Amino acid sequence: MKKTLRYLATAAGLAMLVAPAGAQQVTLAMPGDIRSIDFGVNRDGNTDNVLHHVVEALVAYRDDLSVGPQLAESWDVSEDRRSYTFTVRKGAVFHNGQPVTAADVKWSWERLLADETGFLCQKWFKGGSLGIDIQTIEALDERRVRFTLAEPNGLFLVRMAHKVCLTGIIHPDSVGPDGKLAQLIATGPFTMGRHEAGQFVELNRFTDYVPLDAPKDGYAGSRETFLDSVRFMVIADTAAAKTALLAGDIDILPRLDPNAIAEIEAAEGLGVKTVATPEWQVALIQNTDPLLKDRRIRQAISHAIDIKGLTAGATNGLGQPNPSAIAGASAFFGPFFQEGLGYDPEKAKALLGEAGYDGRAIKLITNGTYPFDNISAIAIQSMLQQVGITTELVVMDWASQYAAYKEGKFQMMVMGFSARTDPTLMFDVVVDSKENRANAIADDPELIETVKKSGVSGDEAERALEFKKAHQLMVQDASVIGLFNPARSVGVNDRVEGYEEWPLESPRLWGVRAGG
Amino acid sequence: MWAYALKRIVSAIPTMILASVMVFGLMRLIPGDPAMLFIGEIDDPAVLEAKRRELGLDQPLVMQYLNWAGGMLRGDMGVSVQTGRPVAGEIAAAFPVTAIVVVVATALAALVAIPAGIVAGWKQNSKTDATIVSIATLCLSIPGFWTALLLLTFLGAKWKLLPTVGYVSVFDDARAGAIYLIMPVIALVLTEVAVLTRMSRASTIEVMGLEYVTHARAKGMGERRVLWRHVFPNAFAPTLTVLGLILGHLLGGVVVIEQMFSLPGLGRLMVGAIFARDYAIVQGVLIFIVVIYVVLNTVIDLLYPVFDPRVKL
Amino acid sequence: MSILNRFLTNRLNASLGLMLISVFLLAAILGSVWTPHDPLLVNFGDRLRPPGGDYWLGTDQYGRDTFSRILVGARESLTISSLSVAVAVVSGTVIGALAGYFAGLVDRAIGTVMDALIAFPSLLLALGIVAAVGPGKYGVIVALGVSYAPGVARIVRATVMSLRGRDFIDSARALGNSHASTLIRHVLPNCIAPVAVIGTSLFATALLSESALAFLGLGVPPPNPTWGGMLADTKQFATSAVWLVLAPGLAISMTLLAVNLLGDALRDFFDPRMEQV
Repeated sequence: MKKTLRYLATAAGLAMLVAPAGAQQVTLAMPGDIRSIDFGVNRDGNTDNVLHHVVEALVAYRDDLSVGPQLAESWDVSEDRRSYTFTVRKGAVFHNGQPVTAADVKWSWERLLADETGFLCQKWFKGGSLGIDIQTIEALDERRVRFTLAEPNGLFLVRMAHKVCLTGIIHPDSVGPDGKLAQLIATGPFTMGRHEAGQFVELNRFTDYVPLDAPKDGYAGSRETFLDSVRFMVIADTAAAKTALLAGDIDILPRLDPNAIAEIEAAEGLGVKTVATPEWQVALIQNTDPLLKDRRIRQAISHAIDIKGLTAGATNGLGQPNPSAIAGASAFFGPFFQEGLGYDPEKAKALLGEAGYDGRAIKLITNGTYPFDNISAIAIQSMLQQVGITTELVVMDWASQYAAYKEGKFQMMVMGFSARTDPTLMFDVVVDSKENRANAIADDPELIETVKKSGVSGDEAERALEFKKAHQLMVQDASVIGLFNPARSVGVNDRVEGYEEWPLESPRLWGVRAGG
Repeated sequence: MWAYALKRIVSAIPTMILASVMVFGLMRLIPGDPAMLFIGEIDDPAVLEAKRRELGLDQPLVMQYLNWAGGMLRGDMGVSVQTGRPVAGEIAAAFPVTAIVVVVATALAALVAIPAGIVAGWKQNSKTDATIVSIATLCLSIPGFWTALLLLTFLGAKWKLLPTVGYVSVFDDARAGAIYLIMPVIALVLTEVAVLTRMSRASTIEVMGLEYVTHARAKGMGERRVLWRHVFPNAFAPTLTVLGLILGHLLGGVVVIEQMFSLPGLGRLMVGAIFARDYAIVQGVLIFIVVIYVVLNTVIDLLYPVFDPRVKL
Repeated sequence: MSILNRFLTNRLNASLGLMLISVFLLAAILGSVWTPHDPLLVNFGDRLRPPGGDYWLGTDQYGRDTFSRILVGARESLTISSLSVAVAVVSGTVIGALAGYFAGLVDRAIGTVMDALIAFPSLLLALGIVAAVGPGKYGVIVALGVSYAPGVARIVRATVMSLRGRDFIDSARALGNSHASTLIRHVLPNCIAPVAVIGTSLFATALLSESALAFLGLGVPPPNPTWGGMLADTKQFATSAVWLVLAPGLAISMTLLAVNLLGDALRDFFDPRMEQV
């Protein structure tokens, strides 16, 4: 029986997985299918992860989250800081063999900024909240293109490199006669291959790709590719995904649960890579709630949470406890930002007594989708119980929690914010007046003022001072309780060489080789 | 017969309308906004407004329902909020996957269970009967998803005998397709075997007690002939009805199995759509399932007299 | 007592089922008053401990004691299953009896609603209701109860239909009894047997569906344990800490076994004809 099954399994393996002899293929898991090939228009995290292998923007994030070259090998900023002149990477060709010209860049950008394209981040470049406003795009010669802004803006390149809104350069033939994107004739190291909806997306190596002459660095730098093809396999269930990695049916499993690390490391032929990320795990407290509008109760909650213990437990000791919005990777980071109100159960009890807390249960919302949220919430509930605060865990599906967050309709909630490349942007996520937007959490007027100032100022030292002040105010206000910056792990089969994790933790399959 | 089928289908119309209102209402009751989820982390109220308008979510609920129901009547099931692809196409791609798993599992179960049940009923209260009933009861007590988990762990991860993820249609490649079906089918088949065995045993016992069987025996007809000529044909028909019910039920029960084995079937399409609040998909799939249910039960009712000569429609 | 005696005599499955279910009921009661450890206490220092020593059945990924959670889970799981069966039985009986008793238009209207409900696969209906009512014990109970009600209604209706026109019903009416009192005094008692039989099998189905919902992330929210929830929470440790999957899985299986055995015995008991053949 066993023998027959093994024979059958091998037969299936031969039929299914093995590409032509000597071809190198790697399979990795992703939790859901891509939504479309229409980058920046119909996308989600999975779509971004796949399409960043096919489509390139002019610039891209480096490992340290600064902006580096990609399809543009270099750029100059004019004296008045309004004009950016990019030079297209030498030897860059589209997937159809045509060389990439400045005119293609101009065409691609004008397509993205046109109303009928439906580019989700159009406002980012057309006078949105950060004030970036592209006035003209000119092709100066074959390889040089100039963007001119209405006003100087330091965040222009940061936005252009943004992972979520891929500002990709594509060949005009990509668009069908109806004006809609029909296929991707882009410049990335992979081309789109077979897509079986709900099952997998396959990418094939683009053999004429000429990489940048710079080391691989985040999404930037060289994207020299050795794999012939890559398969992104849709596996919705986390247990099934881990089983598949153990069975050798997939080679790479991103976002490995921290509790599974030991098992994967111990398994023969598998390894784990872990990287610290600038994501921020927080507990949010709604300060308009009749019970929680009392700052003493919020502070008591803050005192009751041992963020060191919580981080150690929730991330298996891999995360970095962090009560502040300034990530460990940030240039502004320092020991000052490590100080919150401090773990002090006695103080918490005293504050509760002072505020006359009557044991009323507080609803703590979390979700079953993201393990860090769930485990943090369970730990917080257990810690609050120790000082006599009753909480009722409400585990929602993600869509319901997101709606509650957006509308500000909750008492307490655990959330994880994705990486923000600048501290002001991270503060901005939670700090604002509630009239301005319903999902503002910390609305202390002085705090709002301080965060605003930190964004406007061009002087680093001045900004550092504002950040310190903002941090202190936010800690005292205790509507936002910073917990930790998580670490992310990926399980990798030993036959895969050169696969590295990086702070944005999106898969990168260039520079990767696969053994037998 | 055709008149009967037609009558059945016509009488299902109010049910369908009610089901459509129910699924529509249920989806709107659930918190979460498809447009908000579509846009994700991009914080731009104008984009959100535009998306809501595009999806027709800014219209009153009654209008939204009429638009959708009107589309359905014209044969247009709408497009998925998430992928922009037509709902009909998504269902057409997912249904065969679910159908194959369910049909194979049920057919295998029937092959084992119907003879086992008839033998058990025929030899009621014997050792054979007790053994068969015990095994069936035991099988009934093992949750399918638990079996699935253990199969994945042992056959997949530990002994590496069968692939843990992936799917190939048996129509594209019969052998590879069959291999990907083994684990999901095992996980489903155990419960099915149990239910069907019990059912066919019960109807056999009932038939055995009927006069003509006693009569046949009294006439000195051999036990084997009695079984084949009288018991089997008559015990089969009620089991067939249950088979229909089970098929309908399995369409729902297979959801977890599809999730565990990463099968791109109807159940996973539905669950994914519920989480993403992809209204068009959820509504489309549900109506589709209701139609399947009605058709299936009509067909089985039509088949009933073929197998059971006592029944006339 | 004599009914129980009659029920248990010569029915091995009845005794076995009753014994098993009593064990779990006792576990549920015990779990309400005493557990070896706090079932909710998170202790990251003791995570994923194998069975033995201080933790009879090991600990989960949060360092919580599995045995304590199985005990408390018994209470939660059995409560959810029995309450959802109660919802189904009560509403199904009322609806089915009305449809069967009054027949005609009432029957037709009820039939349409029930058909629409029955055509919804129960798990999908539950998914919707849980998402709408909100995840939690009561959401699950309502969801399961509503999706099982049509099954009960169908059987009660058939039973009541078969009683219509029988002498004792007609004479009850003729004696001036109201519809309500006829229904309650004369019709419903005849439904007890079939409802008891379907109720037991629904109990098993409810236990399974609760677990399936938990598996899809729509069950009773943690940290309160249900067996299904425990299974769902720990499913990814099936390859490394198999006791975490075995303990709740076996608890579910054993309870299902007990309920199925009892159900068979009940069917025998209420339908002696089948036994005597």
